[in-house]
Amino acid sequence: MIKMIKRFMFLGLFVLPNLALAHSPFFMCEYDDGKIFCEGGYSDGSRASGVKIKLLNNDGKVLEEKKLDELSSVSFTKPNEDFYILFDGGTGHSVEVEMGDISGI
Amino acid sequence: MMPNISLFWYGLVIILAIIGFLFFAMGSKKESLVLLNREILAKEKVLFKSFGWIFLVITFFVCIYLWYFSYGMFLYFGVLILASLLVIVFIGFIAYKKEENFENKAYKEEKENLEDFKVWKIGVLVTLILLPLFVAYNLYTLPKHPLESENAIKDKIGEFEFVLSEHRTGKGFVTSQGMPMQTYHLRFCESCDLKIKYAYLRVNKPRNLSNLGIVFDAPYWDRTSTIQLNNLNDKSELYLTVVSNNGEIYQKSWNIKEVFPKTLEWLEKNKMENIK
Repeated sequence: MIKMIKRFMFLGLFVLPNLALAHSPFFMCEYDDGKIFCEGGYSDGSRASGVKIKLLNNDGKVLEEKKLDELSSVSFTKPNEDFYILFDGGTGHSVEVEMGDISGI
Repeated sequence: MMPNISLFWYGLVIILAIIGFLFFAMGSKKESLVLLNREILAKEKVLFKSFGWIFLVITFFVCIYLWYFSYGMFLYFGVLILASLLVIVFIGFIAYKKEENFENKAYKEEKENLEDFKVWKIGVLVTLILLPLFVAYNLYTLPKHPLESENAIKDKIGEFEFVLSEHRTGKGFVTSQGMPMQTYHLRFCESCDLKIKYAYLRVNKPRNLSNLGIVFDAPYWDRTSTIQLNNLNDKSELYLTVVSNNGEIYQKSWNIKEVFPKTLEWLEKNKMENIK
C-alpha cells in the first residue's frame, strides 16, 4: 500500500507536470539528388515518430502518404508538379512545408 | 505578471501579519508573561487567538485581492515567515532585556557560552529574515510579462480586442534538431474571451481551413502558441486566425519585419552562426 502511494506521489510530482508541458511540432525538408528528405519533431526536442506526412499537390490531392520513422524522418521522390508537404499532427498541431521553402529545390 | 503594487501595500500586509502574530503570542502562556507581565485568563486566551486568526485571514485576503491568487499565495507565505520571525525576535529581545534587569548573576564561563550561542542564533535569524526579503525583492523586480511589453501588438479582430506578443522580444529558441522557434502570447479582452473557441497562429496565409496553424493553448488569460520560424524573409506574414463560439472565422496578418524586426535579425544571426 505504501509502495503504491509512493508511486502515485512520484507520478504526481514528476510525470504529470511534464505531461502538462506544451510542445509544438516543427517540420523541415531539403531536396537532394531527386529525393526530398524531411525531419519532424517537437519543440521540446522529442521525436514525432509515427506522425502521418502527406505529400499533396496544389489542389489538395494526396500524392503520397507516409509516416515518420523511428528517427522521426521520412523521404519522398520529388513529384513532377507543384506540391507541398503536410505534417499531419491533427487540428492545431499540423505544419506545412511549401515547395519554395525546401532547400535545394 | 506580478501586479505592480505600491510598496505601501507590502508594508501594510506585513504589519497586519505582525499584529496577528502578536495576538497569538499574547494568547500563549509564556509569551504573555513577557508581553503583558502577567498570566492571561482563559477568556483572554480565546480572544487573543481569535484576533490573531482574524488578522491573518485579513492579510490573506488582502494578498489575494491585490496580487491575485497565483502571486498572492506565495507572497502571503513569505509575509507570514517574515512577520513571525520579526515577532519572535521582538519577544526574544524583550525577554532578554527583562532578564538583564532582574538577573545579573551569570558566571563568566556561562556568559561566554551564551555569547557564542547568541552569535550563532543571531546569524541564523538574520539569514532567516534576509531570505524572505530577498525573495520579495526578486518578486518585485521580476521582468515584465511579455504581453505588457512595448513591442506587443494591440489590435482588434472582428469584435475582439487582443494583445499579441513574443515570449522574448526578438529572441526565440532553437530546438536540439536545429529548428528556430518562437512562443507567442495572446490575450483577448475579458468580455471577448468567453466568445473565443480557438485561435491559431502560423507564418504565411493558410492554404485552407484544415490547417490554420498551431493552436493557442494554456489558460485563457495567457494563451500561448509556439511556431517554427525557419524560412522567414522580409515578406513573411504572421497570420492569426480566430474561431468564435458561433463558428465565425476571423483572420488578421502582419508583416513580421514590421512588427517584430528583431526576430528577423535574430534569425539571420542564428543562420550566420550555423554557417560558421
